[in-house]
Amino acid sequence: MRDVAIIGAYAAPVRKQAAGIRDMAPSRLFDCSPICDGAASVVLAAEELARDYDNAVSVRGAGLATDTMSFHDRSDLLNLEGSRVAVERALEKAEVAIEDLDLYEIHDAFTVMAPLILESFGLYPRGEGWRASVDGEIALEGRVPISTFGGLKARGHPVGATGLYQLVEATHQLRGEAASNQVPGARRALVQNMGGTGSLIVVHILEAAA
Amino acid sequence: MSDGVNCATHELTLPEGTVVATRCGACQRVHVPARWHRCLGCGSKRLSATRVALAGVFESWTVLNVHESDVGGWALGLVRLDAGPMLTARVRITGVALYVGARVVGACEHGSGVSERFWFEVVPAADAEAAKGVLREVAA
Repeated sequence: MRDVAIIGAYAAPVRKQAAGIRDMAPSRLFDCSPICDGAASVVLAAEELARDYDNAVSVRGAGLATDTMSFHDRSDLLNLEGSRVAVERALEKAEVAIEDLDLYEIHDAFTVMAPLILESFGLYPRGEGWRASVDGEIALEGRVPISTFGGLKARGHPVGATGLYQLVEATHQLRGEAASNQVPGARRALVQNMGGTGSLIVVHILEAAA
Repeated sequence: MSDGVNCATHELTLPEGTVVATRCGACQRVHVPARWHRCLGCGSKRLSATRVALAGVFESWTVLNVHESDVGGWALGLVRLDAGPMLTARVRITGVALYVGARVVGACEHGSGVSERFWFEVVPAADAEAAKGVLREVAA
């Protein structure tokens, strides 16, 4: 899959709203992403047209997977199986390994989601994903930089626009336009979006122009 | 609870401490709420009605607090029923500590001949063995 590219990427500032739910123990207020307004867009073009743009970003692979909507129907509450399958499919199409990527925009709507997602990517063993944060590996210059513009919790979660926000942010990274949020030398990015707490997961692999 | 079983069905079974479920004739998986089209585990259509007791253990739970609300915290739990399936249900906070592995039983508020509300409660450890399959009924 190398026939689509992003030639334009735009995002409007998010406008945060008061959350309806204050917290859900053991998650506290700052463990939960604020639902907000926001808008983002990308301009897609066929790759032969995108060659006319020197900052186009290639969509190298995409993967989609589903899981049961209800937690109570899942065989393992701590395994995001849909995420694992979606990543596997995207990497296969992109013909790259998970370790070959320079940054990971993930759907970290709650603090607990980040380690579970990183484990589903195969970057950490089961139950060890929390070490990514403690050991500083998710920082911009770490081994697995995630949510480089703050992610859903810090940037905000405009729900329907969140997936495109992630694509816009990854595009900024791959163009070297991320300013103080720039991951040094970023060439490949993974963007993961999910709905229904992991019941529908979409993963894209993007690559900077050669 | 829905998916093929209406409220009237549960009115008949809740006072007995059970709910209507379906069992797969191929893989024996039990479904609560009842599923009638295909088994979630193996896809078989060989599903038949059964009843399961509303008693089990906590797999997990959360307490929700609503922003700028007078409503106090209320809890949702994932309960693994003794019959096998897991379900999501309200949990009544009674002062007994919530913890993973806690024994829980169903309780319902019964008034005007109708089971108006249904929830799970944690059984104090000393009573856990005796509470298997017992549904506590509360006057509305």
